[in-house]
Order: sequence, then structure tokens, then C-alpha cells
Amino acid sequence: MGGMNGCRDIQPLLGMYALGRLTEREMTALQAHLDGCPLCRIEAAELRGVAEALVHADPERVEYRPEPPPWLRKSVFDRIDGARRRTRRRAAALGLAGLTAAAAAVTAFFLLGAPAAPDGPDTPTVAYSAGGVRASATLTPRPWGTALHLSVSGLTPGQNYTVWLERPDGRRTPAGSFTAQGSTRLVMDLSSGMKPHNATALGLSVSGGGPPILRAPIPRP
Amino acid sequence: MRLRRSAERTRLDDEVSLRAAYDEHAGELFAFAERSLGERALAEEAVRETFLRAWRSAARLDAGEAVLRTWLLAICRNVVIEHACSRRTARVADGTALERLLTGLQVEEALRRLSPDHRAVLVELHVLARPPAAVAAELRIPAGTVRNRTYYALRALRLALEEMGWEA
Ligand SMILES: [Zn+2]
Repeated sequence: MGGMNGCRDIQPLLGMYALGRLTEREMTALQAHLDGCPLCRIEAAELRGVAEALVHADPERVEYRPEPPPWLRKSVFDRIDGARRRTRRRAAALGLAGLTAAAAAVTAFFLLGAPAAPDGPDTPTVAYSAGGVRASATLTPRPWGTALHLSVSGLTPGQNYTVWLERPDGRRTPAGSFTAQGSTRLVMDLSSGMKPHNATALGLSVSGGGPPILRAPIPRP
Repeated sequence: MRLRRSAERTRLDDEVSLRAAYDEHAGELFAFAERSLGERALAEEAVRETFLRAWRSAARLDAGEAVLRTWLLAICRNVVIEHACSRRTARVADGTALERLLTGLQVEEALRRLSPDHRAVLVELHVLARPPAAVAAELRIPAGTVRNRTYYALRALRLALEEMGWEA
């Protein structure tokens, strides 16, 4: 670092540098240091990024932020309660009422990847785990519909299962069927004519009827 | 029966997390919606819709605060875009304007988390583009202090943005 200008002496210049406010002389001194100091170069670049975002701030908006009315909280959760009741009624209409333990477990799903699906927003990932059945699926849009990559374990060996996608109105379109072999994990590629954005849930039933073994809503960020 | 009870508990936990998420983030979501849609009533509707979608997708709300905040903002952004497309009242003309607004509002949120001294020097110098000498006079501090304070204020701003889940 040449001894003349150490990081400690030069660092305070990085703020004005990021804001583009250095004098010519200060700029020359800083540049000489940055040329030989990767750490200060990194910090300079980071502060530049912050300064670029800073120009979008509006000082008046910093002083005053509009706040939601106090009653909005109740109104938000009333709407969620309403949606929950409608979901229950639809579940009852689909024959899921009088739940067995296995069917009740259908609600105990976990969804992964909702904040950021690994393959981007177009390929929702659904993961499910309940009653010994574990499944995860990736839905990829295709010109003809949806390519479905499914991985599932914990099913009854020898049993035939049907995979389906569910529309917003509750109707289900089969995406394929398979016979479980052993209790190991099965990985398969299936397809459905339904576009992924039309599918609200993915599920699995015993072929020939009966309540779903699993039904997992598809996250829609 | 054991399974059933645990299933219900999962739901309850989600609801509790969602209420906590509302208390923590509804203010910022409302401000974003109000500023992009231009009407309080529309912003209220956007917040309702945002939390309904969050509940529907039943994401794991035990994720870190920064992730949760970014995720809710992303949902709210989509809701605002849909509203803006169907209404003429919206203030944001296009996607770029909306992104700029979103950036601006996040920076403002970060600025509110700084000390008044740090906030003042950044606003005066950069947002209002005043000369350093004028800022020194306005804030009644030596020019060298303006320079040092600017450096530490920018670092504090970067930290605040990072804590909010910002990625440069
Ligand atoms: Zn250095």
C-alpha cells in the first residue's frame, strides 16, 4: 500500500466517491489506493450500488409513510376465514367429509419453494409429507400443457395410483397412473394437457376412486 | 385421530405466523400499494388480496424475516400490477416505473432505520444534490465531518437494506 495511504486513511473517501462528490485531488489519491487494494475496490463497488438505489428515494416520503387503517387487519383475516370456509365446503362436496386419519393428513402439507422456486416462477415445486407418504413434484410449462416430474415414496406396494391436476373449479384431469413397487422412492415423468397456471393443486388417488392419498395446492407467487 | 389433531395444529401455526407477518409487514405493503395505486381504498384491497394469496400458497412462514418480507412484497407487486392494468387511476405507467418506485420505497424504509444524523447527510447530499459545503453549513458540522459521516451513513444504509433482504 506504499505506506502513504493506508485503508484506514482512504476509507472515508469511499462515501463521497460512491456519491460522485470527490474533488479531483481526492479522486487521484483514492484511485492510486484502489489500484493496489482489492478490498477497498469491493467496498467502493458495494457503496456505489447503494448510492444508485438511493437516488430513487423521495425525502418527503421518508418523513411520512401512509399507514393502513386499524380495521384493515380484521378485514384481511375475515377474508381468509371466508376462503377457508369455502375450501372446507368444496372439500365436503368432493367427498372428503367424515375424514379418515389418512385423508385428514391431506391438509398437513408443506410447500417448499414458494418464496423462490429453484427454476423460477414458471416451474412451481410442490412438496408433501404426511402419513408416511412423501412426495415432491416440479411442474414445467410446455406448449402442449404441463410436464410433471414426480418423486414419491411410502405407497402401498402393488397398488395402482392415479396422479391428477386440479382446476380452480375443483375438476381434476388425470396426468398418468402407475403401480407402486416396494416401499422405495419412485421417480417418474408424467404429462398433462392442462397448463400449469390453470392447475391449483396436484394430487394422488388410488386408481378406480376413493379419497386422495395426497392433495397439495400449487404455490402461486 | 392423532394425525388429525396435528394437521389442525399445522394450520393454526400458519394462521398465527400470518398474523405476525401482518403486524410486521402490512404497513410497508400498504404504503407500497397506496403509492403505486394512488388511492387508499385500492391499497386496502391490495393488502387483503396479498395476504389471501400468501395464505393460499401456504408457504412456510417460519422462513427468515427478510425472506418473508421479500416474498410478501413480491406478491403485493403482482397484485398492484394486476390492479394497475385494470384501472386508469394508477400512478405507475409501466413496469419500469413500478420497479423504480419499489426500489425507492425500500430505500426510504432503510433510511428510516438510520440515525437522524446519517439520514440527514445522505438526503441533503445525494437525494437533494446539495454541495458538500452547503450541507456542512446546514448541518453545522465541519466539511471533514460531512465526508466521514457520509461514509458511515452509506455503510449503515447498506446494512439496513441487507437486513431487509435486499440483493444488490
Ligand atoms: Zn484499502
